Amino acid sequence: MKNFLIISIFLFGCASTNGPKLLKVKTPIMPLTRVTLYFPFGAGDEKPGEEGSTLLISKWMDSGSQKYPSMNKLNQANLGLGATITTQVHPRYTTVSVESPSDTFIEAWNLALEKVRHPYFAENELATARSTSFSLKKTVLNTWNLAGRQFAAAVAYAGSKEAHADVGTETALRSLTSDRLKIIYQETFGKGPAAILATQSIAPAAEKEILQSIAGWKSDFTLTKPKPIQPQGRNLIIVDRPDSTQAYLFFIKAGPFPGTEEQALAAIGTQILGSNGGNSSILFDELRAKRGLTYHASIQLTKSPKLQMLIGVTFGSNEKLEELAHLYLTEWEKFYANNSTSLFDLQQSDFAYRSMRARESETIADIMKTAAETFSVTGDVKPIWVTPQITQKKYEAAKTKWLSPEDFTLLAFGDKTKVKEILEKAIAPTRNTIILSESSDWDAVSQAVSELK
Amino acid sequence: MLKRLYPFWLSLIILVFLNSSLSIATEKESLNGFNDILSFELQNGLKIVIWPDLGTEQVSMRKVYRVGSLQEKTGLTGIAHLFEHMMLRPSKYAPAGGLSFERTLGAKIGATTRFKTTDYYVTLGSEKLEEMIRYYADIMQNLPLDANMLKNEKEAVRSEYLIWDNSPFMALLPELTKSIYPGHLAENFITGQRKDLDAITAEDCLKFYKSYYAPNNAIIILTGNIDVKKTVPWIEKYFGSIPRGVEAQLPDDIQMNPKSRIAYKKILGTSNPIFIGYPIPFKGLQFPEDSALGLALSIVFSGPSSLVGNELINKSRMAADVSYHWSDLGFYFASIDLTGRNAQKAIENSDKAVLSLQNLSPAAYQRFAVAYQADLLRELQTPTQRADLLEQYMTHRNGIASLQIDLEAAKKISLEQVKAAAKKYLQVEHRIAVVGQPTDGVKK
Repeated sequence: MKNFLIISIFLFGCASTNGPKLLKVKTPIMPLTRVTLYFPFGAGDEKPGEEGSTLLISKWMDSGSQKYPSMNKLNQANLGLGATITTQVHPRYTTVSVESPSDTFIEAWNLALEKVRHPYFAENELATARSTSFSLKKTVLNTWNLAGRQFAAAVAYAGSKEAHADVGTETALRSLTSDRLKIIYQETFGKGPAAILATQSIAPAAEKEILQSIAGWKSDFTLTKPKPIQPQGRNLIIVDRPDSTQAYLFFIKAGPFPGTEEQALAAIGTQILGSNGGNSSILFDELRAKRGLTYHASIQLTKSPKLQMLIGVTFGSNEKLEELAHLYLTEWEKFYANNSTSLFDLQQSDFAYRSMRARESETIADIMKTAAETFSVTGDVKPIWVTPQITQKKYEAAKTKWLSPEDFTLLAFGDKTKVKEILEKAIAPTRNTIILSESSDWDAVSQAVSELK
Repeated sequence: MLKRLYPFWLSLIILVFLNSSLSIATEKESLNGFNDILSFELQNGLKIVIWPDLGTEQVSMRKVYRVGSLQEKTGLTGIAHLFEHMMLRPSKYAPAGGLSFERTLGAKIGATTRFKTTDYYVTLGSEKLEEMIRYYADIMQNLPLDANMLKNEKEAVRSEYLIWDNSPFMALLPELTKSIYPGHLAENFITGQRKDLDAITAEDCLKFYKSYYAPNNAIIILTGNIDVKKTVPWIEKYFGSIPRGVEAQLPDDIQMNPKSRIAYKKILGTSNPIFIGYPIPFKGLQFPEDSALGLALSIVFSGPSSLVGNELINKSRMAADVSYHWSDLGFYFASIDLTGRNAQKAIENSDKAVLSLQNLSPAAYQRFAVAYQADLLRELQTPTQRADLLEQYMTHRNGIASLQIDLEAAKKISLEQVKAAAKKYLQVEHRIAVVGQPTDGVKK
């Protein structure tokens, strides 16, 4: 089988100044230029009582700069360049990306710098920033798929930095004062980025402009590899959704660290069992195609190199939930017990997995996002995915170590009065059951898991 | 015989040539800064559009049938969507079902049902393209249908519908459709009536299939790493012998609610969404009015920089997000994520902001137009994105001509055209709003 899809994000052409390094990323040739400022702090670095401060500051920065002292003025300047300037707050790092048609890029870059270096921080705009942050939080909580993935990190990394979501806590978002936020800004964005990533087709003039403007602007960063926690046994967390006619299930446990052969081999297993989010697998065939119990059934290893998790996802009506949950686990157990998968099937699943991943990293924005994740983990220019030397023995070893259905946390969104008993029975023996209210966020989940037996 | 597929704009460079290495006449259209787009039609009426890009290893293929939920009959609502599911079930060249190509070929497979079209798509490595062409040709004429497969797929569809029922935003769209087209079959939305889903038989599906799934009702769109000299003969070989079928007919027009109103819908959760719909003619807009209205909608509803976004997000802080979307039934709609409960006031403010487009300065207009074309450029990076856009422009807009104009919006669409389109179609007198009323976690 022609293995033409080797997934890798290439970083090259590191230009040094007396400021942060400028790294070029191999991206498709399009008349678009994108540059990402990588800041070595994230939601996980926020102090207790200040959760969400990075997001809140970034939203406040949207409200204008000294040169463009209102949100509308800043937006109009953006529009005229066809530019987008976006901030993403991750648990361990933050990025500010500017993208525009290549012919307006230097102006777009200077606009981004103006926004980051000289925020206006108008007092009356802080309310807008708070309101936007609250709404973002509410959107996540009301979109089960988003909430589930955010809460999954809180389950797997309970009590640690990786559990922290960008949307923070409602208490902190309400209480952070403008003075305190300005101080936090100086300690974070104000120190400048640790590195800058640019699309490979950046024009020489734009590159020169960047190198000149970042000279003397530098912050250090530290490199750590986080490790998820793995509660013993099968645990159940129900986030109440009163009157819901369906339940959304997330099976969560620790996974192998990305960039290792173990991870690549375990991904073959999740491809066979649950197609890493796709629609052709044991779970999909048994639960949907043969029985129509659900629209979707999958299991996957998280794609972000910052998080090492295994997440299984399915959902179904309250009436069919018992059969759905029971069968999901039964098929998982059967898969785990089967040790006779052929080498051909392993190679085919590896190819399917790589094809899927390659498609997820095709746009300039996606590639640059992955490059930033790569950079944060390795600190150098190595690709984050390895090509495994596939043998049945090595595959079985990785499967045995990482894909066991014995220890996991089942996070369920649904009407607690209708789903609790069903789910406890389906995953029995249930070691712990925790019921959380509809308004619970990642912080509540993280605290609850931290207190598990 | 070569047929013209789509309306053209006179300034487009159109070449018709008979390439000596191809057995079929193709039509070529140029798109500034991109490879030419080829199109041709087989004798059986199947239309093909190819947009090669050798800078990628992937290809994306779309088979779009001009059949959707508007072809349904009373008592069989929801059959178009149910049948879309059945098309991916086991067949001769896919004994484990079309979705199994994700496992065996590393493909991404999917389908979408709309009111006027049903779209089957795949993205995969270019070396596997012939297999997919053969598969899609086979299921156009030889799809097996049995009662047991139908029973299972109905259950999967029911599970899919629960996503709509339980999502605060998605639950509003059927309500908006119903409010714009009350009393029409379309008010059942694409999901149809649940009792009809129960009643649909394999024979009903077979009849639907035989009636509409024919080459003369379909367009194939191919983008990405396409070797034209190989691909065109494959298409002729696998699709060429499939006989024509009955032409799928859409109604000439459907009656919409002519009056402005605000409807309310109970939704689960704690979000406060509003959808504001603006009907357009059922058959779509003529070129270049379609481009002018597209740009007008972007100016008015696209994010915090837009006129409504600036009013509701920046000034009054009544909303956190504003965006706009499209339904092929014949309306556009704005989606507004309110920060509180003052929906009535937010709709009033939105109406005023829409009207303020008529006072937009030429300088401000240029900024919006540049942003609009840059956003479109961002949507042309991958074979999948290009196939998405071609599908939209070929089946619901006015073809490549509209795409070309949109990519050069700042030069090719005038402020006057945009104002005229907004004045005609974004009228307060015809807008229909649906307000979501969240339960906030309180049980009924």
